[in-house]
Amino acid sequence: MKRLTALLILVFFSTTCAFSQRANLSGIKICIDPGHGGHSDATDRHVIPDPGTNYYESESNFQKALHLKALLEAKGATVILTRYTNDYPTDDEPSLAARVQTANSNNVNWFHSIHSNALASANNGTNYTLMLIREMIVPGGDAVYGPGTGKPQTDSAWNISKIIGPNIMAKMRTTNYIQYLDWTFYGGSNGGYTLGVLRGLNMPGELSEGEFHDYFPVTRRLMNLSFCKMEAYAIRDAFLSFYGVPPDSLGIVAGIVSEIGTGKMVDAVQVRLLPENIVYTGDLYHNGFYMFDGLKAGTHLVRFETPGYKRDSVQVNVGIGSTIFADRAIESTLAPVIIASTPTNNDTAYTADGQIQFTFSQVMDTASVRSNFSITPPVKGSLMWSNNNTVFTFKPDSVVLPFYTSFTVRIEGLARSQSGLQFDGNGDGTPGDAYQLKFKTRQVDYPFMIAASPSNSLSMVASNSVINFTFDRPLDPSSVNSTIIAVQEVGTGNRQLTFQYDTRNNRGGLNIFPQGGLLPGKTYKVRLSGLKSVGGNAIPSTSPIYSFSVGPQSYQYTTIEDFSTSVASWFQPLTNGSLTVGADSGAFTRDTITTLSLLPSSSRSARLSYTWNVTTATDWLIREYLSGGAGRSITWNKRGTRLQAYVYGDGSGTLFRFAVDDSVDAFPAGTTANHEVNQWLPIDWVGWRLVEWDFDNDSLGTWLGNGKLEGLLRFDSFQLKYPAGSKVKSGAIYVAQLQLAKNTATAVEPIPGAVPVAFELLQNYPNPFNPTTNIEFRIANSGLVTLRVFDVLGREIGTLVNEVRPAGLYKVRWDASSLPSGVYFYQIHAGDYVQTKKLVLAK
Amino acid sequence: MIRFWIRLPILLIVLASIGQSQIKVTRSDKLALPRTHSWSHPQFSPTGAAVYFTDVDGNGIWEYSLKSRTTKQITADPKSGLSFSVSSDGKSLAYRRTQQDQSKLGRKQDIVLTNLAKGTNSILASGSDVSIPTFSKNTPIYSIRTQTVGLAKIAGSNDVTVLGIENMKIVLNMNGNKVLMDPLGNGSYIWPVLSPDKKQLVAYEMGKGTFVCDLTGQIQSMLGRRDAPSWSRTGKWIIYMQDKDDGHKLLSSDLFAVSTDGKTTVQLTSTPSVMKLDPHCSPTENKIICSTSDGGILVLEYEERP
Repeated sequence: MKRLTALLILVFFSTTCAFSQRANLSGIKICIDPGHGGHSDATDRHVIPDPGTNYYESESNFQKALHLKALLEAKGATVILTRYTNDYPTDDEPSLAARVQTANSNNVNWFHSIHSNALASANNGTNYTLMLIREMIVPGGDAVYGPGTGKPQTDSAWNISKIIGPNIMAKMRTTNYIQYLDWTFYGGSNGGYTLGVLRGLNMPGELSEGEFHDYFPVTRRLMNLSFCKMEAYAIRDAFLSFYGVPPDSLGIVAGIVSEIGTGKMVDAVQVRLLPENIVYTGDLYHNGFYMFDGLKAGTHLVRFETPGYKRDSVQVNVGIGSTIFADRAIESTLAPVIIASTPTNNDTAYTADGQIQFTFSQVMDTASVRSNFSITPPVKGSLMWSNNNTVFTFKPDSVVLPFYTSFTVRIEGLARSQSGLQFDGNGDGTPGDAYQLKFKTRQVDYPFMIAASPSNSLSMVASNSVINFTFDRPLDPSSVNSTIIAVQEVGTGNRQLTFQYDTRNNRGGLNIFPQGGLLPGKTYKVRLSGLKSVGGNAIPSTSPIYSFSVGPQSYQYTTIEDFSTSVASWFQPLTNGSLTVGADSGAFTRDTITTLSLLPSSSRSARLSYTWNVTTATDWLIREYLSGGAGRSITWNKRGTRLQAYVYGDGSGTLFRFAVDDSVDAFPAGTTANHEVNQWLPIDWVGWRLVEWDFDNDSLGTWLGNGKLEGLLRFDSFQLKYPAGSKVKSGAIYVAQLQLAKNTATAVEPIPGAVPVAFELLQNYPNPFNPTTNIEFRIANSGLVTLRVFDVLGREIGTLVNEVRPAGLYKVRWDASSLPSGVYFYQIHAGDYVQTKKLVLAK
Repeated sequence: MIRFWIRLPILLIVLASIGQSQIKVTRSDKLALPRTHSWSHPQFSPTGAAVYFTDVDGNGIWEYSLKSRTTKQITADPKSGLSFSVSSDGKSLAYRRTQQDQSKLGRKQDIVLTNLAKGTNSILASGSDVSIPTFSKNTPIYSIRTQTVGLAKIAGSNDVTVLGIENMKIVLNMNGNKVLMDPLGNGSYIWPVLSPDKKQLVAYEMGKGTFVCDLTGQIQSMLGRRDAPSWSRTGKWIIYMQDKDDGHKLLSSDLFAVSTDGKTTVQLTSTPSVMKLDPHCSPTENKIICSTSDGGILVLEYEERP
């Protein structure tokens, strides 16, 4: 047992103290590197824990380094910093290479880089200490990207880190400590990299991430120089231990002072230490931190003397070289006041479904507040407390307060805090007076429909349209169900339907999909009854609220892009040459989630995201350009043709339009002078909508062309534009099934004769053909019929039929003049019947 | 044995025409070195006949003969590759090796003199804090702490050499006299390099960036942040790396040239996928040598316009 104990002592000694005992650090040169430098938001880790407080990691690193330099020099070491300022007007702080060179040029014994850590997302409490050591890279590997070998470049750096890490954890009171080799830590197989400041060092070195500076309580403490000094002590003590120097005999007393009840950190804290009779005055960064150092071992009295709070004290026993934490919650002596209310005083348009809430400066005696609360005119409700009895909420029994009513809420001056301090209702510093809040609720309000597609009373609607209603605010999702939606097909009755509801940009969008789609020549009436606002306000229903008529025409569809495989044929919106201006970012990506259920299952969508530069830009345009692929070779004449795409709007008001190349027969490569566009369309809807450019009837917009369509057309791009002054600076839309719809008056022609007894798809004639051919099919039962054409790669070229047809024999005439010669396939779906045949276009 | 250079077809892009820039890279070759290490910190010998380099952590020194195109290892000593010099005649190499140990100061450093022809070594000095050795002509100079050994006035010669950095200040050997320079006042200096005519000095101060001064310390120009500067053969340009990082990781690095007055800057390379580091100019030819982040070594030829 004794041997084992001796062995354990030896192991501990060998890992924590590499050298024989010595008096001080004389003869040891240490280079301390305060990480980062200057005040760049991009590289110096700018955090704003509270309005008006600007924290930079570069600054706290620098303060820690200055303290550490002094502490190490006091122990005889020679200390060189890689930087002696944090002021770099042009942000030209020393590079990582220059820092390494400083250590090497001065032939120091040790290098230590000081940092603090941060999460990539909001930090709600993560706060540990991390030590990073250079990992030996695989011979011949990349100096930056490794790979690493899993071994430290120097064992001594690894060993001292095992002292530094726990020391920092103890002094800075982080939750735990971990230690990693750099390449392994930074992602490993997922693209790990090595720390530049540890590469090429002539001596052992390591990097400490002391704590998490994006966890706001820590951020606020890092604004305090004494708190930074605590970390300097931790690192100094590690060097003393590693080099076998006796630990410092002087101790530290530190702590955090908060307010009883509210738990808020006390600003400008005043703490007196006795018998030394020295006073620490805290800062105004909401951290409540205090610290006394250089203390001799023994009993000390810590007295809390912050004005406005009751005096308090605690006795502590400081051991040799020890650190004692003496946190204290102290009690305010100021009269409690209300520091926030909802609604604010004199609000004349408060939402009736809002709550009434007050925040007190102190923990309150709930009974006294309850008995001194009143609302006029009286409203029945309940009183609730939260946040340790500092937040008080009045909840009416009814869902909403009465509309368009003036209220007065009072809390009389007899209310008191938990500690018995009388309430200062008007905040004048004299307790005993009442608090009064006046507000008025809005008139009856409910979401208003701000966009509808197809428009109300519109005729000649395309049969492949989708129905969309968009409201100016979100709906109560539970009120959106199939029972409140009715779609009547005049002359037939109500249609079975599905629906989809979504919210974007604080707007609610409802898509309705009648099963089997809309039929040519039919009139539809839509009734919504029972929708509610989020606050429960019913939206009035009308009967019907809405109607439209589908045109009798049939269309032959030619797919330009269905996004079924990729968006490789499209430029990214900010690509050089895209003609995009005024956008900070943008991306065009294939999407498999936001898809339109009406489309074939292979159909996907593409997501076009955007962020506008509203700071300096004066013009805005995103051009999402189709640069290649099969769709780029499709051309058409304008007559009888519509360009269509399904667009999933984000309700942003961002403007949308199409662009085409005109006269591509004359200018095969295209010229910017022939770029023509349609009119801008504000994306005021949420959900899917069919967006069209009717080349026969729609007026042109203004861009690079001459405003005329003069020749053969080809698709160029989708375009977005920021409407100047809009509050929505970023968003995303989705686009699906970009296609041409060509009016074919003879597209589906019934052929007189006996009703067929079986389904059949007949061979087209003529075949081969140029450019038109006829396809006949027989249907035994009434139902939805689709007839589509595909190329040899299985890409859908066009939809010749997509409608409900009664039993009979039909003929479709297909015009393939826009397609190249080749073999194509046509396929019919009618109920369970599916058949495919081949046809040959020979030009 | 390495017998071939690898010609890089379009590794480097010359961004400025010679009519505008007055200096441009005309050719780039990657030394065909084995992938046994990640190579770094290359430098030409004073005669320009050889290249010396080390691995990414400075362990060992290798020599590449530009004539025979062969590589041999001079030493494997730890940390020697970040701390060596070659004599003016190219026959001797002196380096400092550093070994961590359990001694009171935690390390032992030796100055080793190598006869490159014979391959013999001799230890000139040892201690816990010895300087990087340099040469005055062919005589090694080094310091033990701040005591410098080897200084001597050479008759009939205006001998000036950079001895290195001592307590953050630049140390020169001026005709046998050790001179500490602090041109910017209370500065912390790195990367001091003498101009080819030995009348000027370029160096980097950690707070104020790169500057050119004469040998009295009179500032000639402030150049801003120009890392690892090296004089072109004519002394009209300073070649440097423009390395960018995020405070943790090296993000990019290309080579640039700046005129000594700081008025003209020319980008010499533009290959974001390959970071180029630590350029060093040949004293005898229009060549720059540098390492790359992926562990290679490049030799760039350049043209200067009068």
